[in-house]
Amino acid sequence: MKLTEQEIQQLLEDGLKKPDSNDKDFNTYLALFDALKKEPKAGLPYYFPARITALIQVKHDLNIGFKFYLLTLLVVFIVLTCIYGILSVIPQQNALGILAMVLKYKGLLLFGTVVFLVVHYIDQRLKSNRVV
Amino acid sequence: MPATFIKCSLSNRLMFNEEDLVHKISADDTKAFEILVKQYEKLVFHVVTRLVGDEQDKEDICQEVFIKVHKNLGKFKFQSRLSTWIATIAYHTAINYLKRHRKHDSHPCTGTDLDNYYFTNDDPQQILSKKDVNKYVNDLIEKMPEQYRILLTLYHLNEFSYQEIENITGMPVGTVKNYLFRARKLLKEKLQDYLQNDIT
Repeated sequence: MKLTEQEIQQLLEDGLKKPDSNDKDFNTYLALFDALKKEPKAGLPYYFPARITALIQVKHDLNIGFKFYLLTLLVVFIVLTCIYGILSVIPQQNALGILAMVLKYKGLLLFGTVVFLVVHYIDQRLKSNRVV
Repeated sequence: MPATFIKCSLSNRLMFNEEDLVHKISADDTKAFEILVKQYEKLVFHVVTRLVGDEQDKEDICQEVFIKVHKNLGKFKFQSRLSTWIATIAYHTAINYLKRHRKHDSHPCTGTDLDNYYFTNDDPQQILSKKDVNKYVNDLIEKMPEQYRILLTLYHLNEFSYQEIENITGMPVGTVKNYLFRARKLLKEKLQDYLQNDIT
């Protein structure tokens, strides 16, 4: 008995075979199902997994870098607040003396902090560019 | 042997421990993520390739898919297989790409009426490829509408079930079965002519 197209496709989906090997339709479908399972030759380059992983790592490091900047700002703010608090409670004479000394080196302190942050930023950018 | 793999005594093949791998990746283990990429890069590539024609963009889209996978892995709660979830991301990423580039899409089957789709006559390039059944079938699939292409790939190449294909594409199971039947019937008719001509 000749099978319909739907029946043939259902048979092959279920992994069954028809005993009658003269059925042209069935044999064509069999060849088709075999061809459909074959993987195409093209694919992604061999370095693809390593590249994606490196990209994820850089994004992760950049994320930590951003949190680092925020933390640095917070620490600086807390330190300045503490200094202000200390200067408020100690005798004015001593406070003025300490403040004068700090202000004497304000340029150096500011410059040092900026250089530190810029170097850190450039390092992160170089890392991300290397991966891309 | 890495703890991520467990030996399956029934089939004597290494089985992929999805849960263990996902937990490691969520804990920022980049080696574990590399294992995941190696495991699923073919799946993602097949899905993207069947939808996107531009060679240069395929790798970029695959990259985008895995970045999304990494970003959202914490939200994956094993409500499906990991492969189904990744295939869903790949499918939607490719579809979004097609929507953004629709006006530049030169695929002949864009906007085709699927109910009345049929192959046109072979072009000379195709006649040259007739010596190889697999290549001939793949060339025919490339000419088909994107819904047929993706369903043939997800079902036959990636071996997803009808239900999983519904979850990935959003197409109801009935529609998936119907499209698959029609796509295979069309391919079979062309293949039958090819085999007939090859013999004679």
